[in-house]
Amino acid sequence: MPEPIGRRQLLGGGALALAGLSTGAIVGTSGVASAATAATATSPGNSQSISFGWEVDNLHDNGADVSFEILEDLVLVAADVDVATVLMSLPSTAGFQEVLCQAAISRQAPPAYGPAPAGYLESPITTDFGKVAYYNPSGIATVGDGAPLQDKFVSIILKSWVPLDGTASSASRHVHTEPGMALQKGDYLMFHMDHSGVEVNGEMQVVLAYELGGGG
Amino acid sequence: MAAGSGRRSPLNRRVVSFGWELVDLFNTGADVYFPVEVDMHMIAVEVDIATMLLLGPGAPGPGPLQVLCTGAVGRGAPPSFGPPPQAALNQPASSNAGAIAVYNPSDLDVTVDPSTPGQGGFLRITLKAWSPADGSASSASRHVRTTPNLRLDRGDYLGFHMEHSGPLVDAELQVVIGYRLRAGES
Repeated sequence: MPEPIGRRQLLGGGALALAGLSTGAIVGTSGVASAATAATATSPGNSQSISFGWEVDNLHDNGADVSFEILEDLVLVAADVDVATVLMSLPSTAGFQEVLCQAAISRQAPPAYGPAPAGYLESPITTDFGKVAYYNPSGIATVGDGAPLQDKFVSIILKSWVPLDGTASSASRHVHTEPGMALQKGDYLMFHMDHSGVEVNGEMQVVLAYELGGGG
Repeated sequence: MAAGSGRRSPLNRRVVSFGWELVDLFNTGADVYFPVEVDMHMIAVEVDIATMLLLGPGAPGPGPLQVLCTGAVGRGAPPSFGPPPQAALNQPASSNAGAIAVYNPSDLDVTVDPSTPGQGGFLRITLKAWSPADGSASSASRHVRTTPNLRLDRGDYLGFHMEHSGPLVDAELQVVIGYRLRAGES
């Protein structure tokens, strides 16, 4: 297994790292339906909701993902994502802990992931926006995506300091978002967590509200 | 059509609320549920949930505390529950989503629940905190507003669940539900 590389270690190199991007694995944007068009084709009587949760008990400079296939055309009206981290034992040294939590759509194909240990979601670079430019006159150590990524609809970053006695070391967030995006049968929804710093337990709970009938 | 009547009239909008507290949560869980008596659309759900140590960190000692809170619709029947001590709120597997696959290149300890997204689930919150020896900053809380816009029929049920692991805590769930009556709608 490769040696874990924390995002803080990347920072130490002073280079611009492109988190979430992997050369050779980028595909073009396709099949992005108009949410506005799709929404008009649905009926309020078709509203449905599903939910699930997943937990990683020993996040330590690595990551994991879960995914599932969409079995009917639908419009993803809203997503509620609740994420939290907690120490499972006291650390030997004080330090930071951070967990990146993301969710995205994989269009008409099972998800692709970046290399271990982080296992980032491999979302395509958008063709609707240009690349991200960085202006950094003071040479601040910087990590960031090189371009906006298509169909990534949740992105949450949890950070906290972990003192030796663990006081106030947990971090959490609840995010409600309304992407209003059309999903087709054969698309996949994928969810990701990766971590750096003091080992923690990380958990993501997800509720998705949708309307059947994707507007074809 | 007279003002104030019709399908989306404010006169059809209602709100209800209730609260529920578990005073001695300790590696256990419990549920509450109630029936839907009229056809409606459940428009919004506001949930406020909080935990705190009740007997001090020495009972039973420092460590991680976690409370999972879920809410789901029971279609046409009271909800069913998993085995104690957690007594989780059961949800049927969705026919609109496939089984959940895990990508785990670092062989982490990953748990997924349920194995296929559960149909009718409209709420999932996980509270986590470290309880140090003196209990400092060990409480956790969340306020969540969600807009499920679910069609509920008379005879459906709404169920809520809390389960816990770690030092003994008190946990409380306060719920406000906004809905619209479907009477008179086409």
